[in-house]
Amino acid sequence: MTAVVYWMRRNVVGLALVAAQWPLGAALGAWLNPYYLQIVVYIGINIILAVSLNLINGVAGQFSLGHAGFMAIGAYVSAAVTVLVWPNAPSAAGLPVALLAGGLAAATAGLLIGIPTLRLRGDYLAIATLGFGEIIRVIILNTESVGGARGLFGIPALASFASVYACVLLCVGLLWRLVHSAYGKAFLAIREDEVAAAAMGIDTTRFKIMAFTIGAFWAGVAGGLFAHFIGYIHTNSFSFLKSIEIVVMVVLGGMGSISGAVLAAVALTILPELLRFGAEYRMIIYSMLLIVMMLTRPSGLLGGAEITEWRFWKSKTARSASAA
Amino acid sequence: MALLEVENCSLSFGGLKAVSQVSLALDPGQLVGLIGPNGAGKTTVFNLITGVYAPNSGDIRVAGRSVAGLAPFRINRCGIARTFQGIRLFPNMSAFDNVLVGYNHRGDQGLLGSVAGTLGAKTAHDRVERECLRLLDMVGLAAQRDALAKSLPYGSQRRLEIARALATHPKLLLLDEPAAGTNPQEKVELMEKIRWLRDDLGLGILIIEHDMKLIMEVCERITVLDHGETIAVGRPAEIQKNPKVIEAYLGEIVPAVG
Repeated sequence: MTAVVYWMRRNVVGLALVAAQWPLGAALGAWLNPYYLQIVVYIGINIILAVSLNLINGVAGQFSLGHAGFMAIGAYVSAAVTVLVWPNAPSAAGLPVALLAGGLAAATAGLLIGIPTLRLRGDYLAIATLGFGEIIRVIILNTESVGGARGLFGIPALASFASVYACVLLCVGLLWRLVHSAYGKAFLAIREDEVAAAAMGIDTTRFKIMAFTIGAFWAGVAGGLFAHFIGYIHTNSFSFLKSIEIVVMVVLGGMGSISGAVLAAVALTILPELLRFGAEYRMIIYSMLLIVMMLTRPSGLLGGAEITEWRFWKSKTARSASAA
Repeated sequence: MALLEVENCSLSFGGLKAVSQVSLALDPGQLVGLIGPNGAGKTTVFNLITGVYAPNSGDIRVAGRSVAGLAPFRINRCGIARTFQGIRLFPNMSAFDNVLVGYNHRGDQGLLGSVAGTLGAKTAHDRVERECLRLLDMVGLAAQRDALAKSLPYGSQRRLEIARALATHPKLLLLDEPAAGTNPQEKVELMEKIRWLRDDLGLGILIIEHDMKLIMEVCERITVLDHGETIAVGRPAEIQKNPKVIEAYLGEIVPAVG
């Protein structure tokens, strides 16, 4: 009985927040124009992508460049569910089933790709995951049953602000708990020193594959949300450039920082929109701003720490301590 | 039954024989020293015992069970923990988290328990947290629990490494040059600590150390390696007088010419 009460107390706020996304979404829908609402939804999808890649790249220290590939699997599998397998599904049932299918398919791909590639380190792992991401894209491009080079049309618009941000809260909340639990410290330990982590009884291979699989799952969910929000998907949306965009979010936020990844995802989704006044110079200004940001804060916006532990004075003393 | 038995272990890297036919035995509660000149193969023996390398031949048994060739994390779970010659803490993690990592597979949490927010996980976490603090306190680092490992002074980092090793609940502790870079005062404290680990926790301890005073004072038995081979085994007093050991350290005594 006490266990049930404890669990309710511990999770009631989070679950209430998740539920609150529906009235919030309705209010925003009435208030914001569709263009702004669309950007807000893209922000949510990018948060899921950045936070999930942060688990692989930032926390566990395994540099993956294939996140867009997992997003593609999630997008296509979930779209296949609602277009081919279960058309006219009601939103309340169709979307969770589709997202779960997309997420699990991406996680399975992550598991299968992770087992051979996670033997590699650093640059080699980055290149191998890049290759796998492209292979996934090319396979989809040549699969006629999901539209091939034409893309997949007519995906029901089941996702909305509410479902996207419910997923954002679940993803961020669950990964936050995982990374900050005694169990999840193993991911960080592997990033810090793999030999020492193994000597402390940590099954390093298992944890690396776990990070990869969980990260891929959420990338798949993000892909599924994306597909069911815009209603049309094409492999061009999941190219190598998308993977790079997500990596930039993780690096800019500060490797390993969940709140940093969230902040960077928000900033880097809004920034190109704010720069629309620049017309054809937009991406040049965007790139230059990125360079300036990395020069002024080379360890990322939050420097790998979480926003909850960030104080100006604290970061100052930490800096002087490491300099000494 | 012996806690640790290393039996005729050999390891070559290409043509280089790093360790050949080395044997060691250690009982629970015993303190054994492993010494030898630089490059004698002492750390390689540690790496063999902890599974970083698998021996080319020979066997390693922990409480009678062969562990040769097992992955390092499995060997740790058999009850062997170590510290490293060049400190290998998790530099960007707090002192507390460094110790916490040692409880990873013992926290009774698992993947689901760590995210579900259940009472069981909370209870397990609280217990682990208390034990980590006790270990930090034992090595005198309770006040620095939130400091990043890399920001600690050298001597504290060495002690934190011992606390982290103890967090995995070992029966056998391998200390690779625990006194390197520590000042005389810290060395005295370290000796007391090592004796305490043996007497109160009943650990078997194998030490690599260049500080002869420390080795001679705390160890009951010493094995001397040179060029990957065992050249002497015995009590400290015997080792000190052994001509082969003196030769290994100081070179052969050549009669003066002319």
